[in-house]
Amino acid sequence: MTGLSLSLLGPGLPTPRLADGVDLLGEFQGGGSIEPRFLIRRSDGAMLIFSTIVYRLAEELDGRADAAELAERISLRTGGSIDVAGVCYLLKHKLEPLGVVAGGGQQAGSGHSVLKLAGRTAFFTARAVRPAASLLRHLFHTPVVVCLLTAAVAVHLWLLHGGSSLAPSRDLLERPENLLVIVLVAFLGALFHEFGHAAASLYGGATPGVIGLGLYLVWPAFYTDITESYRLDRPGRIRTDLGGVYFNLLVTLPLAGMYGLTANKVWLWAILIQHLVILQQFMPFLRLDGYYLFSDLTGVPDLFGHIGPVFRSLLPGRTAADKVAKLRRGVRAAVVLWVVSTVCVLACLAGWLLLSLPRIVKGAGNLVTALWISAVHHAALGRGLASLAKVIQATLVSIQLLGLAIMLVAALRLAYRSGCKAVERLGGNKLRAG
Amino acid sequence: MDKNTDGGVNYEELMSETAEELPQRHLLATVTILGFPIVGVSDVAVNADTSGPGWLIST
Repeated sequence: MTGLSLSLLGPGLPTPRLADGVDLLGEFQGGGSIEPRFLIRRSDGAMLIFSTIVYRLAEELDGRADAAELAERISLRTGGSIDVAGVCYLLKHKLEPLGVVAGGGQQAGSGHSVLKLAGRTAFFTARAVRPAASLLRHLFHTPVVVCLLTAAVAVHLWLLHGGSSLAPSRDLLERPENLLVIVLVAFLGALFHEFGHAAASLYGGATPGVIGLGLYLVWPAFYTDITESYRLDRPGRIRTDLGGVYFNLLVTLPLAGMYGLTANKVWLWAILIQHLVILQQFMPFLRLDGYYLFSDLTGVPDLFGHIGPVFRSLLPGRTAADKVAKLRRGVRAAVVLWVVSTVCVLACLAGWLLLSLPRIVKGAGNLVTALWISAVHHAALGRGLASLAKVIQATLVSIQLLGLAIMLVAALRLAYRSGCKAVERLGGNKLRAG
Repeated sequence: MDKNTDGGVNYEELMSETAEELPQRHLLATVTILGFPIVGVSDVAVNADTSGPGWLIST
């Protein structure tokens, strides 16, 4: 057996124990695999998933049993047969690299980087999020949910049938105070959305982490770290996924109230923005709420990690990749459908972006220039609010141009690395053939 | 745990046992309206008077 830690096999066998701060959380509820999966939380908060035999081994690491005794215990518990070398193999190759065993190494992140949030900056620590989430979690009690959703439906019916019209009005949005209201509500709504996830997570029993700001593709994005919600059952995870859009809907209630009081249609625009956020969030192709919702409905925690295995399985003459074969039949079909549709949609988006790039860069560049000129013009005339509004617009468009540049550089680096790997592989094949 | 024909443990099976770190769950909220100018500056300019918030392209 290659790669086995032979030092573990000799006399004076070490008695491995769990690393400090490691929590064994039990079975992953509502998983899409044929066999059960089990969760372990590492001291740094990372969540790890294991098949039965590896988890049972982790459970037995009490610092007293050596590999021989562990082999005996595991065989007894799983009803199978594993020897000392097998135990050592699992310790060395499955548990140690993930930092589960005391004294073992810990590999750097697992490389799940597809369409990930970049430049994360936390500005609410987990300690700061907790009291707010604790207060807001009461909004998830069933009677409260029913009352608030009924109120939201009633308010929207009033807006739709009460003669309110959302006819576009350029004049309305050109007023700097209205513009500032729109931007402020968009940002506060997004932040409140995140507290919705945090509160839902805490309501289910999983402690939320930090809330912060990052860059997702080209957009600034708030985020909540709810990694611990993996430990929730499926309804709990789905509640956590939906907590954000539920809070967006709640935001529309005071906005409708402001419209009722002032009859200023800027509040209707603010409501419309919440609707756009909700619609966008249900898109399952990016790492938005719809993605996590689909992930939790199918019980597959890492859908993006299945893209490669699914395509390899679809190649003629290839058997299903291990990762795909281990899924239940219905789940497998759903994941294949998601993979194919996601790759198609993202490829179309990437193609459109590449084709439109010159126009987008030129248009956005001109826009930023014009906005800055306008800001200076307003400032010179002593119109502070109008100048501020233009500065905010220019900044927001600039951030997105920066995001676009970062995304393109990342895509080029990825293409370069993939190209290098392909060349290396080709070279290796030729050498072997020679 | 299955055994090979020689009575040893089936290591292929051990190799395929699941042990991985799950991706962090960072639930996002992008500020959608900010995306309007970047995804179609000229298109929004054309349609602004009929279907879009004009401030995004106003100077």
